[in-house]
Amino acid sequence: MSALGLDRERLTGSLGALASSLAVAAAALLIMLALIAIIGYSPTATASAFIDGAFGGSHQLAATVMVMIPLVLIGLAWILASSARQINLGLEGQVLMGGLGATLAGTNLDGLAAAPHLALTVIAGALAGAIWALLPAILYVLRDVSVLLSSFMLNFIGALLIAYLIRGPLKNPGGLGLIESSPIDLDALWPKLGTSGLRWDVMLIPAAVLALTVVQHLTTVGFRLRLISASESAAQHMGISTKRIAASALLCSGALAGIAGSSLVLDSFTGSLTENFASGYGFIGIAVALLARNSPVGCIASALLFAALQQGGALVETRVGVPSASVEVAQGMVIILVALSGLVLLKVSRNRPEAALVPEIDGTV
Amino acid sequence: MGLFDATFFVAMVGFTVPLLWATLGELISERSGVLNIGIEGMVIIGAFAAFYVAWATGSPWVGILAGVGAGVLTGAIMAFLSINARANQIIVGLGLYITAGGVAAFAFQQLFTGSDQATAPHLDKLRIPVLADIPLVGKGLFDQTALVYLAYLAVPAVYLLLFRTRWGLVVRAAGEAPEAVEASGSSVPKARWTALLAAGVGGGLAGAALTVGSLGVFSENVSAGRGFLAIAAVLFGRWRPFGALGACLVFGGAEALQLRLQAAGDIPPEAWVVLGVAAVLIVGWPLLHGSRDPARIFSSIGLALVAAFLAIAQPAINLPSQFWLMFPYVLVLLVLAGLVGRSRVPKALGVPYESS
Amino acid sequence: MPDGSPEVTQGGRQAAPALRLDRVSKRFGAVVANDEVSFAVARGSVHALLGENGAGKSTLMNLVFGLLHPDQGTIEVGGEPVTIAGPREARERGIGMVHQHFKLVGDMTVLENIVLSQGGMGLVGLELGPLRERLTDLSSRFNLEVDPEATIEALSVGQQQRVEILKLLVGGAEILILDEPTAVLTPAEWSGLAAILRRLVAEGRTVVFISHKLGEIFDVADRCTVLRDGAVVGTREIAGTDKAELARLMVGRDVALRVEREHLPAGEEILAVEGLRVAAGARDAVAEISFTVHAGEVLGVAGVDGNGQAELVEALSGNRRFDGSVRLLGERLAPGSKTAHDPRIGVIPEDRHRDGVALELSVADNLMMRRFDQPGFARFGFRRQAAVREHSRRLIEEFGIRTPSPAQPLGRLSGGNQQKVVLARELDRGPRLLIAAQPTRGLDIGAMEFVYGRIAEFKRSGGATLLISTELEEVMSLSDRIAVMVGGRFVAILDNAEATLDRVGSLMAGVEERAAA
Repeated sequence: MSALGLDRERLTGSLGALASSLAVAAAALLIMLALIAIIGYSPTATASAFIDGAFGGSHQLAATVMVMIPLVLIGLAWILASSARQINLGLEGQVLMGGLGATLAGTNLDGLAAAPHLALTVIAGALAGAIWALLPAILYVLRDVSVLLSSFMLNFIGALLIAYLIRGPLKNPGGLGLIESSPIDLDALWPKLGTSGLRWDVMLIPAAVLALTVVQHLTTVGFRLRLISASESAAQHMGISTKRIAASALLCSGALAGIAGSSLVLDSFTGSLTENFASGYGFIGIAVALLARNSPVGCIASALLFAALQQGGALVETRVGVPSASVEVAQGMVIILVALSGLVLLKVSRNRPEAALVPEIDGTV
Repeated sequence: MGLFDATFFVAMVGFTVPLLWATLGELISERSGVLNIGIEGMVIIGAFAAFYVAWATGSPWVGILAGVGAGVLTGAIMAFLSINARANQIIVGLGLYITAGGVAAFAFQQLFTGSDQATAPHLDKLRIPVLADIPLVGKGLFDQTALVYLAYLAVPAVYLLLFRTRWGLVVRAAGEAPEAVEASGSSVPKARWTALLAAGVGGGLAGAALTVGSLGVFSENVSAGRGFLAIAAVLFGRWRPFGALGACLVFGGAEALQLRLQAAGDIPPEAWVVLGVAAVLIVGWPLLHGSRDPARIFSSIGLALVAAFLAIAQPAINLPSQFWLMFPYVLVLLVLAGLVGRSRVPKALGVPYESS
Repeated sequence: MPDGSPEVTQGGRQAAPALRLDRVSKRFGAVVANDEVSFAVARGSVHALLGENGAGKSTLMNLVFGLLHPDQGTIEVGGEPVTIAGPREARERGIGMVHQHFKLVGDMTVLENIVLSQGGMGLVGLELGPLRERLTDLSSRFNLEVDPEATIEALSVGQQQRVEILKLLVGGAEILILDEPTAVLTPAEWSGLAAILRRLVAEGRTVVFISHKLGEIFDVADRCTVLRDGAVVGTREIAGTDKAELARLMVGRDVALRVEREHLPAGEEILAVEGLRVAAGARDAVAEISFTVHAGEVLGVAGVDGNGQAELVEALSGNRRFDGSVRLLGERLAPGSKTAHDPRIGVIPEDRHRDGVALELSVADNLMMRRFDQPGFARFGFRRQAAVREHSRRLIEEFGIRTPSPAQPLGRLSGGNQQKVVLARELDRGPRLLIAAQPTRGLDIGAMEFVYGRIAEFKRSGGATLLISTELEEVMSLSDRIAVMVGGRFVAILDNAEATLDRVGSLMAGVEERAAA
């Protein structure tokens, strides 16, 4: 245990955090059910449709898991940036750019074997995401510009850029008038895993979580991040270049988001770049990380909840008639409840200091 | 047929005013120290509330009141969560944005499923005689709805509120040095609460302007990120009311221009002139305030020359509409990078206040 | 009086004191900040509150000002018991406070700040005109000249303090509380302020003045209450006491004999500084300083807080840019973060919590923070956990750090033990130069003696120490040579033998001018 830097107090703190996250998830779901019932739909029908939609069969389960992939990656991207004290609100744009990068590599590199083509496509996605995080990083290092604001603006610029590209230079010549890019080469897609709809990029989930956890706890890079996170000033006094590390963390964060984007495009129904393929993932991913209280492993469970909400919600609409926007409402409520629960934890921690050891981002701009 | 004709100005004012309402609201909130990401949620839910109540009661004004009410309610929730519950402002704002958007979409889908496009009664345009006859800008400025005229009054009103009343003084101090407010015996939470409620009014009115103040239709994408654009406008306008007006005019103008240019083909000379003037004004603004920075002087002159050249040469180029729409965000990036003069961010912006 | 303080009399008969505290107590959780504090302040006098850092003075005055509320006891204003719910009530009672960290809004004007201080959040006009007149009147009456339209940020610290005092006067304060007013003033500015205080008192106002500097108290105060560890240890008339008695009351024992100072023959030159200049904004915080520190020697830097000591430490420890030449063992040091990594320099920072440790991380992590990426502790980028554990075990034992386990978060340790961790970490690398800034701030006696012992041991083993402290007694007990820092300059560098308390104190006050040794 101590090899991983754990001890009883930290464990109790983590258990407290886990308990609070579970409570938040449960509360959000129950409140949603209650509201739906008040409006007039049957709560039992809703609940059963929800469970069927998310977990009802191997196909449904696979679909849910596939949605988890980008959510986990984006959640990890958020955690990485916030561990260097950066608020990367530009994840949405970085995801979009990742999809763009993947599309460019996936449609233009002919004559490559499947494996290298896929690899290059994913790498292109990561690079594109990192590049989109480059400007905020540079502005921060050179001029102390708030990453929150600069990366946020780039979301809109990125969305508009893609809107232009898929109507112009990247437009699908053979398309049936749909607004999309040329489809990606079939051999650049993630190969299927089994028959229920899973693809091999599922493996990105454990790989990324493991990598981030290992880095955080076992490497010197991770130590630097933890030190910066704990006390930026002390880190500076130890000679650590906090700005450079923050910039690197931002770039890696962008890269992770870019990979998420590449998965979204590669796994999409049309296998091409469409206008709103990322639609909000950049923000839901943040919610995933928040609910997981910045724990990489926790992101898996948290992403499962949000993915289930999306998939389950779709079937609830079809079967019971509850508008699909209920999913959005549920997502928003989870975020708000997480924010509230942070306060509850803090109050509890006055009696039990160890519970206060849960990492929180500070809200400075 | 000129590019900047009366129709252009009508469209420009139409784009500017809803944005202006949201910007003024966000301005007050940020001045008090709260970065209100939830403003987009306030706009959406204000839009829906105004639409629905106007549709249900048949009166656009009652709808507008409802829109304001919805915005204020959202502001109150934001205030409670971020001030009383001391939750992180960004997270709460994000959560409220998603929730409010979801609630509005939910209610719309629930109440208006069906193929018929529901229309709510919308405001009529009130034409101000004489003023509306001014060539070019007359129709755009003075043949508009009451919400537009209210917006004209709102800018100086917000200025007076913030800079000439005690309330405004305390609100501004809360965003700069909350400890000074506390030592004077006033309450920082109270100042921020009122500021967020004001933001709710602005957001609600923005939403109402988009539905009842326009064509009386609602769609889930009616706001199209205008609330976030308001955050950009506050920044671009340097956290000042008249600066916010300028920013909204620039952003609104860009949107109107983009629409016109889609049909126009190549960029006509008058567009280059206007762009040139705008660019020189933006870059050269600090020069008017006493700056003697040579880099700034050179770039202002350079921009003017480039614009003049392009106006004369009339190259056959046209930018896709999306690039025009990008301009507001690029401008904000330029401001952030400090290329447009130094920005003075309210010191306590985004920092939750712990009283001693 | 029951607490041993003299009776408060005015004009031969007893008048109600302007302010009286009767058994006032305040706790924060387990910490007792004020313990049954009782004393009285006569109207029209200057009353000083003396105590070391952490003695509870600011907390006490914040209770009077209404920012905090007492758990027990009564506060009387003008003979009447009052409950002060907040700054507004304090203002109504005629109480005003100037805090150590000014409560001013940087980008507003003087006038706007004063309007703000009057309270009120209504939708009413600002009425700057009449206020401007009152301001001009008060300014000239009390020599508090300041431009009403000036922005706070553009003013000097001394001028900002005047604005703070004007806020109180405009608000009609009869009792003015000043918390460590000289922490940010130059000696010249202090004489100016002292004159203003005397003027205020001559007009019938009452001043309560918090300080831990004996000199200032003897400059202006009529009476002084000494606090130690949250409790009153005595109240004395200034005229009837001397600095030694007050110092003794403040510290609780004879100060001068704290540590046996060994005098060692000076070894090689470790640190040579020439023409050091450190800018802080528009002015120079450190203006052309030159000095040397040798092996086996402690060079102490005495001075009032805020005379450039912090900047000096930051520059030498690699956290701030500087001009001039700094040589370590003959080698020139470049300004910048490379120095922070230099194993030949150990730094005990002034603000331990902010700069010296990471409270959330474990004791073990804090102990090896300087070396986490060195070959012994990391391989191919992965930390060697066994080495980390072994290292921390060794240091914990060697330095007697009291902690249940090395994995304990540092924040749980006492202040003294946290400082031990800092010392252990810095000394562990075997530095040649130790820069110790306020090393015993906030520590109890036992921890202080441990720190002094380690510094003495370091000196014995041939290390060179640069000790910066505002505790004059500490500097004088430990240092072989004493530099007095005033306004960013070393106004003198004295041998310990020639440095008496009075002489150094006067130098600090800018009284005597002497060429640097």
